[in-house]
Amino acid sequence: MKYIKLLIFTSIVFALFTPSANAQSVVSGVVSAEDGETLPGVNIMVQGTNTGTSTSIDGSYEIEVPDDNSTLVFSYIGFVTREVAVEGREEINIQLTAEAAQLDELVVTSFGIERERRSLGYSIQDIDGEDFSEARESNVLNSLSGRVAGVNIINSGSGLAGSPNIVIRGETSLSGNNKPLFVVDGVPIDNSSTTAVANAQTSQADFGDALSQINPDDVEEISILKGPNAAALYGSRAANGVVLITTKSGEGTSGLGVSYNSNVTFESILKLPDYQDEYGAGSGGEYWFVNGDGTDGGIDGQGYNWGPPLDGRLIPQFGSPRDSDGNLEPIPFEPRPGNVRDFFNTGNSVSHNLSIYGGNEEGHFRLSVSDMSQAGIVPNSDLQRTNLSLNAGYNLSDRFTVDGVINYAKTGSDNIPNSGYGSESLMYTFIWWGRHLEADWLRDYWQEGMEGVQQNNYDNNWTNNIYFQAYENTNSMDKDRLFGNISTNLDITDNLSLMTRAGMDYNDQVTHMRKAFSSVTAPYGNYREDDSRFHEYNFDFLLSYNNQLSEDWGLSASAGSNYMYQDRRYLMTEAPELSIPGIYNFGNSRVNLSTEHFTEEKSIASVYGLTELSFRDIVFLDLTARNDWSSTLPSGENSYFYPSVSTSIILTDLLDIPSTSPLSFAKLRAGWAQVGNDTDPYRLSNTYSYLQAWGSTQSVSDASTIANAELKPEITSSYETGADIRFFEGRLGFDATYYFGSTRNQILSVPLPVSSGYQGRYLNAGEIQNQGWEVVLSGTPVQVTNGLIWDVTFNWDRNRSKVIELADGIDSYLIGNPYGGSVEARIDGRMGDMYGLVFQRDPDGNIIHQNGLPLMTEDVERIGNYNNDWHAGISNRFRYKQFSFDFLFDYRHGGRLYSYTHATGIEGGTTVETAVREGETVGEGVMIANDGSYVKNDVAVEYVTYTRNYYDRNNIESNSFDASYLKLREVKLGYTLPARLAEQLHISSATFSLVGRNLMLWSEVPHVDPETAYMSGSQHVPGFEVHQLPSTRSFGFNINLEI
Amino acid sequence: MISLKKYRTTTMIALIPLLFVWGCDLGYDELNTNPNEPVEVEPDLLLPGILKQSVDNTVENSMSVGNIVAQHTSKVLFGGNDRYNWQSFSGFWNGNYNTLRNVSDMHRISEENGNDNYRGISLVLKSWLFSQLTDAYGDIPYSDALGAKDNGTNSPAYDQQSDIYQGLLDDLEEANELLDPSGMEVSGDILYDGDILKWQKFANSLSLRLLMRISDKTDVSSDMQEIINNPSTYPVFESVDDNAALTYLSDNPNQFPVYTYRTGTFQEYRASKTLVDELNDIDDPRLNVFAEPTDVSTEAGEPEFVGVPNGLEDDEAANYNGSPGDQSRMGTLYFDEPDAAQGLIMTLAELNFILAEAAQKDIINGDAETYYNDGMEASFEQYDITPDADYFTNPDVAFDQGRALEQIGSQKWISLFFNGLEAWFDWRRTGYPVLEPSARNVNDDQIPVRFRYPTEEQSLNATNYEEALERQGDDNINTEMWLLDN
Repeated sequence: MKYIKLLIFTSIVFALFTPSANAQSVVSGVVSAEDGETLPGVNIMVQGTNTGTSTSIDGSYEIEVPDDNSTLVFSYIGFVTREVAVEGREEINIQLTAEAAQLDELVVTSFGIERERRSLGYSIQDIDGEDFSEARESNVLNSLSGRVAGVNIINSGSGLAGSPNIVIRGETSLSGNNKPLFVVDGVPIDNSSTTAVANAQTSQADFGDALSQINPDDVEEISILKGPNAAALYGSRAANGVVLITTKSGEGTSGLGVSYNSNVTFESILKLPDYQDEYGAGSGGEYWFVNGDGTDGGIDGQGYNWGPPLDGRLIPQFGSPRDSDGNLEPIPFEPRPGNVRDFFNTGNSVSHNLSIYGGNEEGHFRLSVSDMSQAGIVPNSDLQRTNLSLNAGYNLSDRFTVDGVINYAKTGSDNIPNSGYGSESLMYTFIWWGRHLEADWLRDYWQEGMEGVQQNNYDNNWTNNIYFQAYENTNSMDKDRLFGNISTNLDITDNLSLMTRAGMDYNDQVTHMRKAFSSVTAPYGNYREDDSRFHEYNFDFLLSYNNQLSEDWGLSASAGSNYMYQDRRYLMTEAPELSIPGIYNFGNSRVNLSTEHFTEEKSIASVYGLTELSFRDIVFLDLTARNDWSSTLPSGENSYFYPSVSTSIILTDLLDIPSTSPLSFAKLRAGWAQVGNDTDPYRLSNTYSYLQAWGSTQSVSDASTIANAELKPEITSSYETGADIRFFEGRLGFDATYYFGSTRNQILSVPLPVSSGYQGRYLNAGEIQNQGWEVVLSGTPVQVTNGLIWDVTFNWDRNRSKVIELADGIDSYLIGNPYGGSVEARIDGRMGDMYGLVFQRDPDGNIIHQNGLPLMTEDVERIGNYNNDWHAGISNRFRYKQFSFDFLFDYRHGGRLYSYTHATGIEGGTTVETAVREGETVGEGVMIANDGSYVKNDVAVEYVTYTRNYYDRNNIESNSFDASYLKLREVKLGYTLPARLAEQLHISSATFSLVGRNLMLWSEVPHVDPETAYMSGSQHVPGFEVHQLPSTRSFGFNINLEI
Repeated sequence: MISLKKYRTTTMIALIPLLFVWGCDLGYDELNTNPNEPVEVEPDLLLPGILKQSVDNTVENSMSVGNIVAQHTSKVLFGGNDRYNWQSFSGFWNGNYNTLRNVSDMHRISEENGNDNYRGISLVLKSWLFSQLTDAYGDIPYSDALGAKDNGTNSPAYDQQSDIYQGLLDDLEEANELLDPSGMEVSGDILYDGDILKWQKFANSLSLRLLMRISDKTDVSSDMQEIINNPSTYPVFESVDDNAALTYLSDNPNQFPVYTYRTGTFQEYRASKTLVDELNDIDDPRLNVFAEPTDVSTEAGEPEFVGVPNGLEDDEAANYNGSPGDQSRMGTLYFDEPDAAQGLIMTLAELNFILAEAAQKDIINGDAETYYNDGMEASFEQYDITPDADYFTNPDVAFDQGRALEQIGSQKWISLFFNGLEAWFDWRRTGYPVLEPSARNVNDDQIPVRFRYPTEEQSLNATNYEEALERQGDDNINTEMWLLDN
């Protein structure tokens, strides 16, 4: 790959520096604003060339043009770009008009159709590609955080490749799939994330999702189609909204351009648990190290920090030197603050992108190569990605064009660290890790003379040596992804055109998980390989008719069809034990291999149509209809039809409000839509599933979930209404949306009591209603002619998803049960309600004590909801001449987070809550008197006993917190080279930025970043923090050169 | 119709509009047929999984609750179960019903294709698994259970324990009739390797266990006597080779379940003071199997066993007798070797102690002392141990008519080490051996006598659950079920 890049780069460099044609004449003049004030620093380019300059301090300029037919392009931040034909003139003085908010801006909608925003009866928000490529995240999805109203993104804290959770307008599905559809250049891509669980334990490695394979440099724009209205035409999979990604194509450029971008950032820990430094490992105040497994007389290997105070007393320890008899010598038992932090590195990420693009009347192209290389904060963890994309179009005739885009992404890692609860997870290890330990003591992680066979650790009962875990028990991956499409467009008449498109998404992914000999969960080591391959093909037709029927009436109508086919193959192979240490090959298995294998196919055929009717460009009406035939539903029920209607009315035009009034634009919109949904393959008939063989004796089991040959499609219907109002020539904008949706007939595995023989049955059941508000305020509070501009966008949203109905006889549906509690949907409850054991309380709400200790309930109770009450984001952009300064705050209000780090940190005596251990305490609350009445608790118990009982890990009440937080998501300081200087350097522009992401966090949650989610398989369970990797901040710089 | 599985871009594009016109025969039936898994199987594919899962479940619950409440072992970390802070052990319930789903399926298939031996085996296993459930919980879904797929019974009613026992015994009677050593061959039998006579012996021995269990409630004399008197019709265990005990394999994933625990998890357990003291008293060499001498004493060259009292707090337990190194852990057999410990269902020793008790109580004719001695011999043989000759003359061991029931109870309890929940079930009935409630228990100084129903039953089968409670009493760990309600 590196050689290919070099080759391309070299050829481009040669092409660029070939001298251009001789200049033939000189044009000069002055550029001013409407109020007559001259404008310095205006960028002037000769169209189709690399020649350019900028105005001097008095607004004057001088530029050489190749011939009289040249066109000059004047651009200046905050002003409308103007193109002026030279037409033989030698002096051209022009005025630039200040950029009003773009009232007639174009937005990308379904099928990549660009439409005027004013005509849309539903809400769409889009984000410019720059916002992804300058201050970048390895997963572009994370860059959307805080920028879009109604979109909730949670970075799960599962490491380098980490798959964030994205939910648009709240959770609607009981089955747990609330992900939107991702569409790249008109063709859907699969965004399921892949995680793999380390065997016998619940810690897991997150190998990332499809979005983590997308190159931020290639993204032109991301549009979020939030509701079913916007998405109706994408069919079944769009019920949860659509994230529409448009990649850069070179279209609309003239001549040849080259762009080079380089990004270097450093990553450090944003938040680490607050460990105590008063007491070291041990139990009951005792500790001495012998062999790390609590035998041979040592009080060691307990995983607790309930040992002696770290007061320098002499104790034989893991790091002790040995005396002549081979016994460990006592050394001072001392605090080692920072011993956890010392283990982590500063991560870094380096990206380079080079793209060549060009266009003319005949066609356009863009070729881009990128390389990203990232080293994580965990030693020996990394992520590499190489992207290659080619996007090209050619006009074969006036009426016939062909376009093609192909993206190839190669993603790899030598090690993606585990997170979660289990011996392979580092944060799990640190919560049981001796506070007296020096990280350095563990650096030589093999026992002398037993290299490769026996690790050297201070605790052999529960955890692995941290360096052994990082360097030996690695999870590596290799992913190849190829996606793109070929399309043709034929203008049959001036009004009628036919588009055909064939798209493909191909993903091949192999992950390898290794455990070395002497791992706590795998004494003979373990090797596992997960090999998954996925294809999706989409074939589309779209016949479009577009006509201005009369002066008043406009019509555009389209009809199309789509055929989607996907297949998936999965093969897991595991050598449960190895024969020779250190060789990770299935031939080296000591025992029978275990495997898991399946192939899966699915297809949906669809026809659809849409019409857009407009009256005087003031009133717009959209109608859409789609019918799907899904292979996953029984014949007879596999065809489902769903329509949508939406309208938009431009009030300012309708009422003829003069443009001089403060109200410059007002639009009302409303829409109603329905979307049907199918299910996964093979849910219609019962089969037997395979068990692990007993030696060579095969075995199967009747599947525990009963299939259903009578499933029907799910139906989501929703309406939304909103207004878009702008004042003062668009300098202040207000956009609000209210939506209401209902998802019925959900296809669920409805739980059965296992005494019925089965654990569930696939049924259509349940209804979830969600409603919410989205508000976007945008404005330009400051815009002065000296060039200072301040743009600010504020967005806010609030969603409530309510459980209206579950299946017959069921009043609670378990959505997830991570450590410490559960997430349940209960009738009249909300989606995201968290349940668990809480304190027993008297009628006045006092905690009830027994023997001085607080009591916990026997049954679970609702403790809160993991969804935030509302979200807000505020982004600011200041621009002054060559400088720009951006910052983005992201605020989430309310919601609860249960922290396993908090619970186990106290249980283990490891975190700061346990730093004080002396004395007794009388718990606040009541106790039950002999006559059964509640009296004030007056029983004193040891402080430590009280604390450990109060924060029992099953107590969801005392271990959960208000999850509100404020994050400084992004800061960017940019400098663009003045055009004149750029010209001297033979480049057309150069931008240098200092960038930072997730720089600050304000939150009341102790120990952990509240932005976290537990991963259960590939499903996110927000609201529960279970030893995720620490979140990080990143800072660095970005250089962009356009040649 | 063309096969769309073999897409060809151009053909596809050309054909799409036509397909719609033709009413969409898209080949979906074929496309949505699961190519990965079978729709129908023979019993030999079900049997291995049934046996492994049911015995694994027995071993795991024996480790986590059975051994502890019977005071064979004690817990020094995460001691909730040892202090009787019992949650509902849904793993025991779910594991058994999940296995019973396959047992019931095996029964259906063997009925359909006329293989009486598989049918007999499925009845034996059905009786064993349902007896475990009813003994732990009392009333449970039985006659109505397991029918969600075949007859749509999503919420099975609970049967009374007395009726369940009748059903279990009837099934075992039928199994004994169906099982025919000269009948059709059986494969996939990882317990008895297709030896149908052994299955018959297991069926009848299990009948005797169940009859003894209800002997306080009803007159079981003639039923027991009939089995004893007709060994050719009702063969029972005669040698330790007949034991219903699963020998595990050395290879993952078929190792003794405890072998796969993390070291730390295994180290949460110690030999109970109750067991160690008893075996020390009678100088019983089985202690060398069940427990390890303390590390400190071993290093000092004078190995001695020190059990840890049940139900200590964590810190208390860690420092008991000095340090963990001064405490006896469970035998290395259970952790260091993948296939040395068997998964015990029922043994010859237990059968002999049942008969000894029955004879002593004059339920059957026979010599209690002989059965008692045979029981001890069978237990020693099972562990391949030959005790010193004077072991049997120890006054606490030698059969003593005056305290025979106590002796039988005590020896039976020893022989039931790590045998599921059986030692606890038996202690509940006989009161032997005399156990003190654990030290820091949170159950008002009572040893629990039943499991709580899993919370899933409360939410998913509420009406029937409530009805059972009305009949049986509160769903707590001290409620006496029919068996115990004298």
